Order: sequence, then structure tokens, then C-alpha cells
Amino acid sequence: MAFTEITIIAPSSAAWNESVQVELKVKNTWSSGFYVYAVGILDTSPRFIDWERAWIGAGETRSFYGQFQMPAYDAAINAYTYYEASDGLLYGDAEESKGISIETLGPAEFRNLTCSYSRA
Amino acid sequence: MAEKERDWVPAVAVGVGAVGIGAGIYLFTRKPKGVDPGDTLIARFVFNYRGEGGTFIIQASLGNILLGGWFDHIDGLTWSREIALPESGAYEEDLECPLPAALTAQKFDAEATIRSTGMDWLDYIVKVVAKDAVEVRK
Repeated sequence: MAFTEITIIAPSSAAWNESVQVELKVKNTWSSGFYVYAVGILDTSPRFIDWERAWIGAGETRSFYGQFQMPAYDAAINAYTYYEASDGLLYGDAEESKGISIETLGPAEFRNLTCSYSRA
Repeated sequence: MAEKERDWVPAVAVGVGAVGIGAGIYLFTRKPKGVDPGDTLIARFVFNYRGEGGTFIIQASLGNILLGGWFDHIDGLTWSREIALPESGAYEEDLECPLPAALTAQKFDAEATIRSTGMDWLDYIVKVVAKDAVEVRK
């Protein structure tokens, strides 16, 4: 059971190299407050929200902000929360994902990249 | 005159013996899946390109996908080369990745990127990562 809920506020599409603003709204659904770490990642990198920490009271919502440059392909905004438990350790909590598609082509467009690895 | 009945037992025995020896040799020489330290790994990039043509860089890295999706590169395990794409089309490009002889046995995640020549090696136009893509044997 997750103790937080994530809502990703971001456009569903953007032009190549455009600055994309992202807001992660994180709601504490637990009965008491705790420290939450938020991480926002475009595909698998880069981290545009980099382990930001904030106290969120019971039932309250806190926003985390970040931005990235739109790549030349359709991508996914991935968001994760971690909570700081009383033992001082971090535990993974909620995750959410939202797609963002490319509006216009960049100077070079690559599609359907796959890479396989084998012994020569 | 009654035709002499043919004895199939020796022929079957020889056949079974040959199959057994063949299977034994195969099992004895068969290597487990993966590559050895010092081997050359081939990263095969398959993609569609649309544009006016130009020079780009294909790059492959072995590393680890960390918690949160971050790809952790390992020093010495990134290879790249330039490719010339004359026009739009479907392409297949191989990148030779010679593995260090001192590499320890483990499974690696892999990252493959394509970038333009002016971009930093960590930047990319397109990227694909794969979990447990390469297994290095003992």
C-alpha cells in the first residue's frame, strides 16, 4: 500500500528542444506527516527532479517542480516518491508515468531504435 | 529359396553409439550463454532515420540501471564510433566493443545512444536501455 499519490502535471506534447515544465503533486494519504523524497526522470535519464525532500502533513499535498529539454522522440515522464521511515531509511512508495510526444521533427529524427548484443 | 533375413541390430547399435558420441562432444564443448573477458562484443544498432543526412555517433555502454531508473556508467565500458547517414532510410550499424581482459563475471545492463557529433557523450538524440543485456562468464 502506498502512502502517497502522485499526479504529474505536464503537457502531453512538446517541440524538439523546447523547455518542458513539470509539476509533481504529491499527496500524503497516511494519517500522519512524514518526509517525502520526490524524483522525476525523463525516460531513464536525466533526473529533472533530483531527490527533493519535503515534509508533507497528513492529507496534505506538496508540489515539486522541474524541467527538461524535449528530446527528438516520444518520451515518458516517470515520477517516484520515497518516504523516510522512523528508522531513518528510505523506502520506495509510489510511482507514476506520463507520456509526452514530440510535436515537430528535429533536424534529425531517429525512430524504432533497438540494440542487440552478441559475441563477435 | 527363402531370402536371408537381415540383422538390423548391429546397424542400430552403431547409429545409437554415433548419436551418443556426438551428443557427448556437443555437451563437452558447449559454452554457457554469454561472453568472456577479453572477447569483442558486437552492439548492433537497428533504426529508422529521417533527415537530410549527416554524421552521427553511435555509442554503447555497459553499466547498471539503478533504483529510480538512473543508468550508472562504468569507466572503460563505453564505446563509440562515427557513422555517416547519407539519406533517410532504415539502417543497421555494428559497433565493436572489446571487453577488458580483467572484467569480472557478472551481468550488465546496457545503454545504446545516437547523438550528433557536437553533443556531449552523455547527451543523445535517441536512447534505449536494456536490463541484463550482457552476461560476462567466469
